[in-house]
Amino acid sequence: MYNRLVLLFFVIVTAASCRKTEYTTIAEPAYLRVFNNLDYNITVDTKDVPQPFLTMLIDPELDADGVPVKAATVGDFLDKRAKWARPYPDAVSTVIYQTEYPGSAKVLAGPILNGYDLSSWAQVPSGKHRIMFYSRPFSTVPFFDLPKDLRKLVMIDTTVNFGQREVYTMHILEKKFSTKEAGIYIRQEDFVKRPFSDSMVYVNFYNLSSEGFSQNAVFKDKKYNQRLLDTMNVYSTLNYVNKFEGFSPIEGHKGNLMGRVIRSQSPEVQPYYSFPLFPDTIPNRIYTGRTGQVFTFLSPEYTYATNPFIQYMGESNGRFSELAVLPEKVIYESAYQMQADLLTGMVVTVRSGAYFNRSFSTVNTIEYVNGKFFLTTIQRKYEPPVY
Amino acid sequence: MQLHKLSFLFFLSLLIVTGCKKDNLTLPPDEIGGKRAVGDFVRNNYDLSILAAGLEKTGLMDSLNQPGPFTLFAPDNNAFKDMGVTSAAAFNTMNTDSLRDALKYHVFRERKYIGDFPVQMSNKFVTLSGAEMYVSVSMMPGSPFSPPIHRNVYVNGALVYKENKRDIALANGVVHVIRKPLKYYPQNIQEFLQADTSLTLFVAALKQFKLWDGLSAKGPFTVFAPDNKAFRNQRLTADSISRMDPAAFKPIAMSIYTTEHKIRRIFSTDWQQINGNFGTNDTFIQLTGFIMQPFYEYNSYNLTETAYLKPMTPEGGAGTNGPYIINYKGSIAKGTDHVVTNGVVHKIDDLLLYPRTLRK
Repeated sequence: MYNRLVLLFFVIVTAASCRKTEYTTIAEPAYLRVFNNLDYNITVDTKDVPQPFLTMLIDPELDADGVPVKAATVGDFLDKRAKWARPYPDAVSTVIYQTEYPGSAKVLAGPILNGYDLSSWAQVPSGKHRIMFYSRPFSTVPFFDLPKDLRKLVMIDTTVNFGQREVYTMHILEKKFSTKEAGIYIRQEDFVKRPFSDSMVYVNFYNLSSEGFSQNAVFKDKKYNQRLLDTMNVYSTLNYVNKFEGFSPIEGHKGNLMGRVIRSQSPEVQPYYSFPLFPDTIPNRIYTGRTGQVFTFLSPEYTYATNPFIQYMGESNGRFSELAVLPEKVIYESAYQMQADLLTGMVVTVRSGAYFNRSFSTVNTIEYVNGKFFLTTIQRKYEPPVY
Repeated sequence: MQLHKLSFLFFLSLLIVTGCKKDNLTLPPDEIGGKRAVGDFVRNNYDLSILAAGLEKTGLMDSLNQPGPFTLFAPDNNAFKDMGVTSAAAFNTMNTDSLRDALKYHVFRERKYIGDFPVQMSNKFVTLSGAEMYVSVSMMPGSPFSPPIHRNVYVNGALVYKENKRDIALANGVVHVIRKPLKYYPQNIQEFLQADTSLTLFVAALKQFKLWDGLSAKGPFTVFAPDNKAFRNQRLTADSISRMDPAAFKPIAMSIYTTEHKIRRIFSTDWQQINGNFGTNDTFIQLTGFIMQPFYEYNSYNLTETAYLKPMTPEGGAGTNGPYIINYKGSIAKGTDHVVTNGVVHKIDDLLLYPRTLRK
């Protein structure tokens, strides 16, 4: 008797279970990640100009007045990109303003492809698609809830072709320094197809500045050597953190020539250069030390050995500049600095398996866009920590 | 025992069933404000008695008790006193129709709390008078996020008071109290300048320097209009202006007053709102050979405003071509932020640059 009643209750509960989840799938996806490289600096003179705070619409449906009412894919609240694009997405974060797409948006993310974690890439349908970018007001109202007149400020309207299961990085860039005209740049990434070694860290360099930037730009803060000429050579120096919380170069890894960086907005993948994951022979493989990388940009007339420029001595007018990827709290005198991994810069050091810290090699992209350096770190799959 | 298990299961399943229900915890906006309407609130507030008298006289009080929803930017009594309206009696000498239009310009037909405004400059809203008002919102200077009660908000260059004087929720709308009345004129810049007899020399000078015709264009433009006394202090009369040869002066000598006809609508408070009280030279108004700082500061302790213009050399020096600072004419409330159909006009009490020092 009671058993039957219990059964009845379970039937009721089952019948009343009210949630039905329909999982969305995209049949033949491409993987897309979007960065907004446009910068805004509001002054009394520019305060009424539409600011590059963007909404991306893929395959939008426009009404009779040309105002979008619906889109297949929406990337809303696309703000300035962050200095460091981390190797894992902000999926657990609830921030609304995004430093990239997909960022913390709840979308279908990319899989682990050839050992690379593509969870910072969103799945989008492959094939030919119309992509539009709109300037939107700085508020937390979703794009399609905005009044009609605020959904009219088109910044970019273009059509792109995505290949099946290909990885794309899209940038919104300033095309010309004089006109400030915005444009789109889509790079089909090939790191997933390359035979990269597990024990090397890879990095490639782009100068995506607008045409005429290096000649005409005025840098607001008075730091020396922020300008980069359109053709530069880049040298890498690997460092360990010494007892004065500064950098000391590791023997044999000081000023190694990597290659040439030419300002260009044509979307070709630049060659990857590498340095060893464990250059220092002193620590063992369960690494607890701190390291950092310095990239020295020199105009081709100079080599690292003949470099006459010193950061604090004065301005080189674009012939010399340095980017330091620093661990936490380290002081290093250079024009550009950024923090990536808290301990090891471009090398990712996290808990893995039963170990407290393990270091993993990464594939990196360093982009110089209009007086700012950006680092994108892509991580390979690793053993999750066991607690 | 068996019975206990059963009732336990019963309640458990009840919980599971009700657990699926998701209540929307945000109240619909018209239930937040209580019973009182906007009009009644204004009528019952000692601080808004002059505004109430104006609304009463023009018959708008009843409109503000209608369903709405409304957002009212309400100038308090201090605001009206700064304009020279010291009591309700002053409205008796005014034209009722133009007073009605002026008051309608303070209201738009939407319920907007401060937190609802996009955090950016010049959000446009169409007021009951049909013209647009410009609501600028920013976080506190240097802070990435501030709660709505502490955000810097200015409407047409009028300060919106902080904390309990904003976001006053009412049955049919919301009231924000502001520091000075809004001034809108359904004229273009040319018509506005011509209608003011204290600006005749300025108009003459603009015409003499061939800057007048552009001011009827769509704009928006920002114009700083010195009064006749300012010209006379520099020994410039209608007669001597008519004998000035524009070719003998650097163009900036006169074009500074129209900010070189560039498209911009600069309110007296904009610079302060964007930069706080400190900013580098590139944050000021950029002009040929000069920069100009439109300074504004509100002292929330003394409840006083300071505002002036400061033309400088591009390096930020005081320069020798004009006065160190220039004040707005009359008072800040009277001189600043006259919004017209194609821009904004500020009346000032001195020349920005002395033409005699800018001969070629």
